[in-house]
Formats: sequence, structure tokens, C-alpha cells
Amino acid sequence: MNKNSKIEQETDVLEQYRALWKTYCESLPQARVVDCIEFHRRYEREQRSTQRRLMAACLMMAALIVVLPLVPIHRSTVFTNGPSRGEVLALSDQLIALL
Amino acid sequence: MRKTNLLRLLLALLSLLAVATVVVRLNLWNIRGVQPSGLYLQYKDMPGIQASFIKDKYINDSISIPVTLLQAEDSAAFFMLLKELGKPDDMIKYMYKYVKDDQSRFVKLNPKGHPELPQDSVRGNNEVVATFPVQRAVIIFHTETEEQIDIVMKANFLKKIKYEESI
Repeated sequence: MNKNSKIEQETDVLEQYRALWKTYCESLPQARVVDCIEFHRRYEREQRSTQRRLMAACLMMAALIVVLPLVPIHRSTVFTNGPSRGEVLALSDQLIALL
Repeated sequence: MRKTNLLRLLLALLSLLAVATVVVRLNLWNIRGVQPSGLYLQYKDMPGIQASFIKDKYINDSISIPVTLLQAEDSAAFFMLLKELGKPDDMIKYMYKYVKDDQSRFVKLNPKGHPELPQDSVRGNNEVVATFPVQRAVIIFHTETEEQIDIVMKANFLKKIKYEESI
């Protein structure tokens, strides 16, 4: 099955789902129809809102990935056989200041 | 529903990519495969010596130079270290004799990778070796060019001038 026919099939399933939902709502007693439709609308609204939030988060993350390499970060790679990285950097700073 | 899941997957992938960018950028766990200096490798397993190698040590906020730092745990280890670095006995004695305070230091140029040999006649072929007797430490600045040598030698001198001008 190629990709397009798969998408078409999934779209069909979605349409069928919507039709079913409509039928289900309409089959309910009049008093509950409004609740059902409202529930469905709210569900779709929440879905859209979630999608918007996810989209915004994706955009922010993409921006972060673009900006991160441009930010100047001075972090030295330190090899040491004993003292901690902080101690080594502090001692080197202290000694370089005496030069 | 399907779109939401796709977006969730995309967000997860982008987050992973962002984390990977940070890891590479900060070179966490030495992911870029930085190699330490030969001197560090030579002294890292030597008892009584604390050896360190800093890949990009910023000098005066202007330039980064790889630096090897060797610190002896006691006088005997320091004496041995100086001997291994080619300092003659009389020079070591001189060094101790003229040490006045913890600011004393002896700065020399030695051929790249060979702090035990005398200065190379071509200045750019050397690197800066600074000895601090009170701290029992030796710093080797792995300079590449003559300009870098000048920057290291003048780093603190220029800083002092700036400070004195500002007060």
C-alpha cells in the first residue's frame, strides 16, 4: 500500500468517525444532544489548543537549536588526574594572574 | 489526534536535538574527542604530581590557549619535577633563594613539547613555561605563534597598567 492510499484510508476513517459521532449525538434524547455536541466541540477545541501549544513548543525548540551554536560559551575542556575541574580552573586563574 | 501525536513526536525529536546541541557545544564527556597534551599524559600517572590539562584557557579574555598545569604535592616531588623539566640544580637553588613571597614566578621560553631543552632560536617555535615555587606549580602555555607568546607574557602586565590607569 503506498503512502497516499494510506492517508486516504485514514481520512476516510476520520470521516466515518465524525459521521458516527453525529449519528450517535442525534440518537440521544433531545436533552442530551446539546451536551453531546458541546462535549464533542469542546474535545475538538482542546485538541486544537493542544496542537497550538505543541506547535509553539516545537518552534521554540527549533529556535533554540538555531540560536545555541551562536551563543558564545567559554567552557574549557579539562583533563585532570586528581583535583576537581573547579580547583584546576581556580588555580590556573590564580597563577595566570601572577604572570 | 494523529496530528497531535505527530507534533508530540516532533517535539520529542527537537528536544533530543537541543540536548545533543548543548552536549556538543559544552563538550560534555569530551564528546568532541579533545586530546590532552603529551606532558599531561607523561605526568598524569606520576605519584606526587597533580597534572591537569585545560584545552581552551582564556588569557585576558582575548585568546584561548591550551595549558598544562603541573602541581607537586610536596617539596621533594617539586624538586624532582623541576629536575625532569631540565632545571639545573644551581638554578633551582637560585629560584628558592630569591623567592620572596607567593607572587614569585619564573617565566621562560622552551621549545614546544620540550620544556627540558633550552630556548629555540626561532621565538615562535617556543612555548611559555612559568614556574611558581611557593605554589610548587608549573604552567606550560602551549602557544602556537609568536603573537600568542606576546599575549601570554604581557597578559598580566597590561592588566596591571589598565588597573593603575583606572585608579
